[in-house]
Amino acid sequence: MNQAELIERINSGDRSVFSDIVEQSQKLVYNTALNIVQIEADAEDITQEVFIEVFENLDGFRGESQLKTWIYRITVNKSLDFEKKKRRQKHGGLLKQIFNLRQEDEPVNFNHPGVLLDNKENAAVLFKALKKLPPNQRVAFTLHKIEGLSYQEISAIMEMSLVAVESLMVRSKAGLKKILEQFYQSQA
Amino acid sequence: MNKNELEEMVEKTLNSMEGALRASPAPFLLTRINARMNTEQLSGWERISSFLSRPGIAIAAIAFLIIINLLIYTNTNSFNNLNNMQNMQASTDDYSINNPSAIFDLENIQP
Repeated sequence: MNQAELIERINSGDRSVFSDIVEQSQKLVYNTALNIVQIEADAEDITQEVFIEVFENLDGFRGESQLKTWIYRITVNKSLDFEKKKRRQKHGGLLKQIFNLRQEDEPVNFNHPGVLLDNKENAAVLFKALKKLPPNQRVAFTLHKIEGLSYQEISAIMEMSLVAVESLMVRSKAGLKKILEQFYQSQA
Repeated sequence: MNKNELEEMVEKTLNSMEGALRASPAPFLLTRINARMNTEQLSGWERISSFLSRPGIAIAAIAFLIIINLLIYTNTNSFNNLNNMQNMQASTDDYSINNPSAIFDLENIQP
């Protein structure tokens, strides 16, 4: 289904277009959410929330951006909000966060279900390191390296300039290298 | 582990997601989304109660009630004090305790 056809169906009030969107985009949404939150049950929840938001705002979609970009943007925002909310619940509320009374948790091991067997161990280390990056860097790295999106697409999703995305990628790679080096040195 | 080995290990880890397959969500996603949308259509009262049960709103409401109660309590007390004073004044008037003419009468009793 191309963009023009999709907008035509939305404009004609065809609500069945929603089931086609879910069918086409479910893996995109689920994988993006899973790469960010790293918990399968949470990624399932986020996937449902994303499609509910898509359904509620479908009438307002006029095709200024690509449908894929729009869905990616909702997914990234929902995933980051979900993480923030969960962290707040876990650490006993906003006051503790404001006064920085919490201690950083060590991220748990996450085994991505799609990773090749040979890479399982390294991928788990990578995901653990990713959790220690600031959210923007993590999202940029995930979308580029794992989802395989171009910088141009990432800049549209994150509503940033191309230069800002490039800078985020450089910083995320440098940050990851540092974290991984420390990790492997401590293991040696 | 020497520097080269370390760099190689880091590079291998950074590229470990290459060739990874996409994960799939659990089956019947559309059915579950539809079910969730149906349950999320709350009635007016449910919306109000869920709004009031938010911790921030609930704490603010309790604080507001306590302040209102304190204000009413302090105002009632000062009103009672004023009432008491008025009652005392009425009593002194009734028994003419502060009336100078009454004292004069007492001191000049006619035979």
